[in-house]
Amino acid sequence: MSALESKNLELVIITYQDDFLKVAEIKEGVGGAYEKLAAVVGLSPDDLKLLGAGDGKPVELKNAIGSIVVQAKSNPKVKPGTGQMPFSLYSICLTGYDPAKSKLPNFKRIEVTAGAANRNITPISELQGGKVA
Amino acid sequence: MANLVCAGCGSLCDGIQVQIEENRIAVIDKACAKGAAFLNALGNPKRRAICLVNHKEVSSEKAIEEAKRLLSQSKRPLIFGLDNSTLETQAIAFRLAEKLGAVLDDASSFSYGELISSLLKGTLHGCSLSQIKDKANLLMYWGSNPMHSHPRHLSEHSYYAYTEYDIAGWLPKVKLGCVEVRDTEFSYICNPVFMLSPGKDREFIQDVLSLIKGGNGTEEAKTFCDLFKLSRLSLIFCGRGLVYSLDGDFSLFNEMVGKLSQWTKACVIPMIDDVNMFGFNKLLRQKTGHINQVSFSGGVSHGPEFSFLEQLRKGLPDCILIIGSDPISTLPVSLRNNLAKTKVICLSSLITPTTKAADVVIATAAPGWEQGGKVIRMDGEEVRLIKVRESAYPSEEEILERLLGEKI
Repeated sequence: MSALESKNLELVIITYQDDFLKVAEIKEGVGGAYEKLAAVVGLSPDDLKLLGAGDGKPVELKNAIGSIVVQAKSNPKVKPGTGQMPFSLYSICLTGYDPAKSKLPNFKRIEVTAGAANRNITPISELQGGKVA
Repeated sequence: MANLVCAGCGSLCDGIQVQIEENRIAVIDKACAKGAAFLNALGNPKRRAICLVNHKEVSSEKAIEEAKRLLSQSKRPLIFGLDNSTLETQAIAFRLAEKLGAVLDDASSFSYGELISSLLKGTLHGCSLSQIKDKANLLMYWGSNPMHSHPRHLSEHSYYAYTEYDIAGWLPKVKLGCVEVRDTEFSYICNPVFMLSPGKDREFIQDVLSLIKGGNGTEEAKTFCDLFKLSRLSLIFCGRGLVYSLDGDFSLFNEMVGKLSQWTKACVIPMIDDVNMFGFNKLLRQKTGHINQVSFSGGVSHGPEFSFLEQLRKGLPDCILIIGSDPISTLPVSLRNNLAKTKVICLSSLITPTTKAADVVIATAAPGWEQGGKVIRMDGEEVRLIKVRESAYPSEEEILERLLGEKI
């Protein structure tokens, strides 16, 4: 498959706690350093190839809850069909809560459709929510 | 040098040394990166919360008065948070909830609540972290990566705290295992590693139970059981991975731990991230008989309808008092949008996405730095936080007393 050919993939995103992200958040708040560490998804090299996205390139993750563009990182330890993301303001954009389906919000295993993106990474300023003045 | 207990995470590491020179932190010793960042942030005016009303800076007095006004006008108030507050603060907040007839909940209702409840009821056995070192034969981390969630946990309380080493002198004399869904730097040092497919923890527990009951089980389940058979004291450290995989239903897990106890003293410790979630649950249980999800409207009622998530999902509260918590950073996006539709009062020592979104922000002294008091650690042990320095900000206790309308 050439680099121009790409397709969408169904992935299960596993989220995890990242100490480096937490340190950045405590030190500087939710800003540039936070965005750099949070807006990433680890993917298997095979899945990256299927997506037609290179290591470090933007990928879009979307589901019925929302959509974000994050940086893809090739990681041979990640199983094909899954992606790994630190728990952050990015991952909660894809997190649903429906008590008819499950008691707790779906923080840890998030089903998404992934595709190569020709947009920039979603800026953290778009994700802070609430009634910001 | 001041000695303090770090309130940067649920480990509550003691013996952290801080030197203050010319009113600023000059040296921090023995803290992890997270703890040091937390202490530095408390000393950094750019990171400290300021009192705001409708995003405009005001005095503490004005912010407290506005909060009092909003709460007194509210017909369906809700109090949320308190997992990083002292027991003393929590007690006052419970009185305030009672006076307001408010719904009261904390993050345990969508994380460790079931597990803590089992420990408080005695369905599961806990163990003091101070009893683990050199005594436990098996340390099993399940759905938890302590290197990231509690960076000094291994060196302070468990694996690296051991003083007895194997005969070759290479490794601590204890079996360290994990149940995981990812390859991590932590799983790299564990042996064995029970690598599960995401969300398959329940199936693994069923396999273990089937084997214990004399039925069939996988090789992994057999290895898992053998570890407990060979151990006198076994610890299972439960992380968020397990909580969410089981969707908060620990009945099978509790049954498994009960069965494992025929071979070993099997104890459970929840890897709580917050400083005093255990304390919130214990104190509220003493007061109401319930650990969370309580309404004080017309007496004490309890149920999932009073969880913070359900209240937000249904858009019920007309005013929310958030104490020492940052739900905007952790809530699913649909609930976060509902939070934005209601009046929010936030008590916080640091600037967070929640303080940025709140209608009223009351800047507070930081527990464990500018406010002393008692908290209960993840293992159920009481720990005393030390006040290291005076604060320009009122403490959470003082603010809540003011909101309660009593003299400080």
